Formats: sequence, C-alpha cells, structure tokens
Amino acid sequence: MKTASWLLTTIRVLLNVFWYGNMVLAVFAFCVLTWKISTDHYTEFSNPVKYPQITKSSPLTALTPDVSNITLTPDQATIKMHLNNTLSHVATAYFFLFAFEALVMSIIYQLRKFFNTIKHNAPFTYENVRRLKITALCFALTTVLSILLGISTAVILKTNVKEMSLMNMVWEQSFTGLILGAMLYILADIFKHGFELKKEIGEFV
Amino acid sequence: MAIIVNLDVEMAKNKMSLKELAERLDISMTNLSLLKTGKVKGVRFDTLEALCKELNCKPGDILDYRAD
Repeated sequence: MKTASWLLTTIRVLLNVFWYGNMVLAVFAFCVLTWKISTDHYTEFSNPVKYPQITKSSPLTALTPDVSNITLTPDQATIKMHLNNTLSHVATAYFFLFAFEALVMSIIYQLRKFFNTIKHNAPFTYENVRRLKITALCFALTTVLSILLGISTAVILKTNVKEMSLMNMVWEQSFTGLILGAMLYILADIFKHGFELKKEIGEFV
Repeated sequence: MAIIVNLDVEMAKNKMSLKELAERLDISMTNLSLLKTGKVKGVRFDTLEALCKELNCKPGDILDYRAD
C-alpha cells in the first residue's frame, strides 16, 4: 500500500534522525554535566512543593453570573537551593544520565532494526519478537527510572531542608512508559504468533 | 508418521531426477527433497496436482497410509 510505505519511510527516517541526534545530545549532555561539575562547587536545584501554611486566599471577581465565590489560593511554591557537588550527588547525576541514555539508545536501536525488517517485507522473525520485548522492557524501565529520580529528589529535600516536615514535595509521576511497555509486549506476542504461522506455512510444499 | 510418500517410486518409473522434477514443478530442490523424505507438514493441492500431471499418476500412487 502506497500510504503505508510512505508512513513507514517517514518513521524510518525519523528514527535515523533521532538515533544520530540522540548521540550528539548524549555527548553534549555529558560534556555540559562534566564542565558544570568541574567548574562550579554547586548545582542549581529546584523542585515545586505544596506549602499548606500559605492559606491566605484572595477573592477574585466574576465576569459572568454563572460563577461565584472565586478565590486564589497560593498553595504551591518552589524550593531553590545550591546543591554542593559531593561525590554522592555527582554519582547520582551521572547514574541518571547514563541510565536514561542507555534506555533511549536501546529503544531507538531496536526500533530501527525492527522497521528495517518491515522495509524488506520480513517482519515475522524471531529477532523481531526479541526486539519488541527488549523495547517493551526499556519503556517499562523509564517509569522505574523516573520513580527512582523522584525518590532521590525527595531524599535530597528531606535530608537537607529542615522545613520539609511542614510541606510536601510535588511529585508528578507518569506511567506512560509502563503502559507503552505492556502494549509492546502484547505486540511481541502477536508477532511471535505470526512467526509461528509463517514457519508452519513454510513447512507446506 | 502414518502417511508414506512414494514420490521416489514414481520418479523412478518416469526416469526423472529430483532436479528435473523440481524445475518442471517450479519448486526448490530442498522442498522437493523434504517432500520425498516425508519431512513436510503438508502438501498443497496445486502441488499435488502438478506432481500427478508430471509423473502421470494419481495422488494415491504418491501418498499412502500405513497405521503406526
């Protein structure tokens, strides 16, 4: 189908762009991080928090009779601080950079190989099943990594800021990676079934 | 397997080699060899029809059943 092949070509081109672009970005990120750590003694750290103590609400004016009793309550603020570049903080920063880059590169690499087989009209192979499962795992691990990042942020705030007992860290956790991983794993199962069907057809003369 | 393939018998009757038969049927020698040795999962009707036409025989001459 002409539309499908145009779409597949676009996806393959985009994946190639992301692959090389990501390589450049990874090197750039590593250089910037290393330069910042080596030149500065601290890193700018900030995180939104909910501060229940700020309860003073301000009334606002309604423009239409459809609404009433409008108030503005500033219950969210941002904590900013200079985080010293200790060994543990530097190690944490490098860990997250390498872990995130490893997952992204693995996802793009596997998808590039996968779409190449589709280009050659041979999608139902054992290697593609394996590639989809690896991609699914990597997507699921991005959620794990983001949870770990949230926990690290919470630990930094709780152990370094005395007033953290009076407020709550704002933590917006997304499970998109986990859901995408689950969907890709199901797709891998479908491709496995396709591979087995193709193998069975091949055994017919 | 209970299905016996007697393709080699019919080929011998027609004095036809595996290579020649494969060329006439337009299937690979590998597949034909697998069929001859009974190592295939199944045979398509159009392949069976082509075999009967080339070897001038009936399906029952090529395929036989012997209970295990």
